Amino acid sequence: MIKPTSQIKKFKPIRKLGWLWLLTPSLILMGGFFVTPLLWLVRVSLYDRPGSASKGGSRFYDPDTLTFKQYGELWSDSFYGQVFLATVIQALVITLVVMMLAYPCAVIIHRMGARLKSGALLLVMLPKLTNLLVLTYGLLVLFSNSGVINQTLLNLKIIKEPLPMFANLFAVVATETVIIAPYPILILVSLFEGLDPALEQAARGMGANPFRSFYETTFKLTLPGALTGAFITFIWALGAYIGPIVMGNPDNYTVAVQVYTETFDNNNWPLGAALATSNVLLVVALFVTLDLLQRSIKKAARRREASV
Amino acid sequence: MQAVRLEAVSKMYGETVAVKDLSLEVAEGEFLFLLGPSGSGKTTVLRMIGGYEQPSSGKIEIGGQDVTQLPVHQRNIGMVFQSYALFPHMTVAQNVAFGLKMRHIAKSEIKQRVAEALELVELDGLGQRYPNQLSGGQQQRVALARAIVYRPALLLLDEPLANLDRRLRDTMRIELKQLQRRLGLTTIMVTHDQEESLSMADRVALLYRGSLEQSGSSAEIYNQPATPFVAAFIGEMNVFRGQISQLAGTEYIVQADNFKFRVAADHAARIGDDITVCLRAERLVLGQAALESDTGWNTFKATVEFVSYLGASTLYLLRLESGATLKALQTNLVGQTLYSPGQSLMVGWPVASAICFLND
Repeated sequence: MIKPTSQIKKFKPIRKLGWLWLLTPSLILMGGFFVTPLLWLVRVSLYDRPGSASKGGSRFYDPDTLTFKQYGELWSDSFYGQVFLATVIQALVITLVVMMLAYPCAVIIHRMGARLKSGALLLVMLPKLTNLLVLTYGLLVLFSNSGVINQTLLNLKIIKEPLPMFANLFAVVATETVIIAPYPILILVSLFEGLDPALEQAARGMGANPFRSFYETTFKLTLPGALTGAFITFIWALGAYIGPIVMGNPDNYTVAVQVYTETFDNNNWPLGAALATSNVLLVVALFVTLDLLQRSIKKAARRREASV
Repeated sequence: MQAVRLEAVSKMYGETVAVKDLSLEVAEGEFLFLLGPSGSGKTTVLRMIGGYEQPSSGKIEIGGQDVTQLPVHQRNIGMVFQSYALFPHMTVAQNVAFGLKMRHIAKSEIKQRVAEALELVELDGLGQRYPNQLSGGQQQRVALARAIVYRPALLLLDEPLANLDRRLRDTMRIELKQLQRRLGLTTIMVTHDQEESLSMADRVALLYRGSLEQSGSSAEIYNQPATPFVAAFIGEMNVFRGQISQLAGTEYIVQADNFKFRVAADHAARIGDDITVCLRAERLVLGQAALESDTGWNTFKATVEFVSYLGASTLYLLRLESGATLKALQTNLVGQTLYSPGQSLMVGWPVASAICFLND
């Protein structure tokens, strides 16, 4: 058994807060390039768009108007509510597909021999080594009506009409899956690698069939980690932009796409900023909810086990 | 009927032979040890009996039933792993209950049998703890309780005491042996510790390079080793290779590299035959006693090269005048003379105490 506590103790003599200065670079980075723009974003969302009479001269917002008007518009116009709802539903679908793919994939990779495993992990990482736009347009070439798959099937006379694999939910989910899946796969593989292989063998020795052995040990022990992976996937999918805009139709447009439309196409920075801020708030709210949910699941699992 | 029977079992990993044509039988209620150096195939044999590895050829029977093709979970075995493999997300009681749960036993009976098993390994009252809240010795007991609670046909132990400290290991040896005897459970234990196997086993099967070298009781293995490897593997042994230079009645004269000595002529040999002579370090007698003995002894003058004081005994490295070296182990009795490096003394041993192997 690994006992990390004994190693941690060794470092205790160092003065308690001495290591805090190590955080400085990341604090500067986060403060300068994440927190500041975010605050600026929130600020822009609290003004009206600059009219022709605007005295402030800002091309982003009218500094004379401090107002919740943008949020009011988001709230009153049901269109935005639908965009939010569609985004969340689409993100749930993506998460489900990604996890259903990632979990078995990680199990298979984990059980491979050392050489095959490193090859498989490289394969998983491959999409991440490609430019996101190149990757997406590659999928476009693959999936569109005049794309490789449809043309091949048409030429082979297997199908008469092109399969609807483009400008729909399928295309968006497939694209986002390719983009996101490597992360949960890597998380899961490292989780599996951390388990003692004798655990599953012990379960089998005590009379559990292979499936039950896997479920009772590996699955249950990796469930919290898998939920974390699913959660990261969900957050990622909530911010989906490139998949919907390249591979989707307007029905698949997410909040991220709408932010772009309002800001650059309609030149309404405050409304775009309000949309973006709302999206951030939604993610935070979901983060908190899911975290609480995960904790209660863990507790319930413990209680269920304890009642044996 | 034998509890376990291995018939010409072999295991290949690609080109590598892990186990070669092994046949072995374990009697009902017997405590068998698979002993051997690392790489001898002992763990592979255990894992094949458990069903964790498929033999490349041969047949395995448990309780008279051919289980060669039977998956692990249908073999009704109890297995204790070197790492214990306790389920970290379950309490001690849940760990022990697991095998019973898989056998669909009623909840009330599970509860009772778990309590009994924990009492058997002296862990009563710790059922609600999690494995990481237990000491190494306690974890070991949980692993044992978990493996015996559903009364398996066969208990398999893979170096279960290897991760315990010396003192605890000695205690657990006795407890394990007593428990095994009380339950009458057929048990196969893998170890590389010769002392452990001699002290606990009903029978020891010594493996070397995937083959069975010898199987027998501890005393048989110790006193009548079948091969030079068995002889040298257990205990402190002096091994000499030489040739028979003279036949003298009931004795042979052996010419080793740089000295001559006598051995009992209990093999049909001719002059010039190659012979391996094994002489246990504790059979050597030091000092005057070596001279006072009768004519059936080899006696030499020697100098002490090195002394290793072991508490209950002392190990001496001696150099003979001819240059040959000998290991001698002396029990530290009351008033025992202790020699120091550089000291000269007489060393001797009864001619009949050497174990001889004629080389093919």
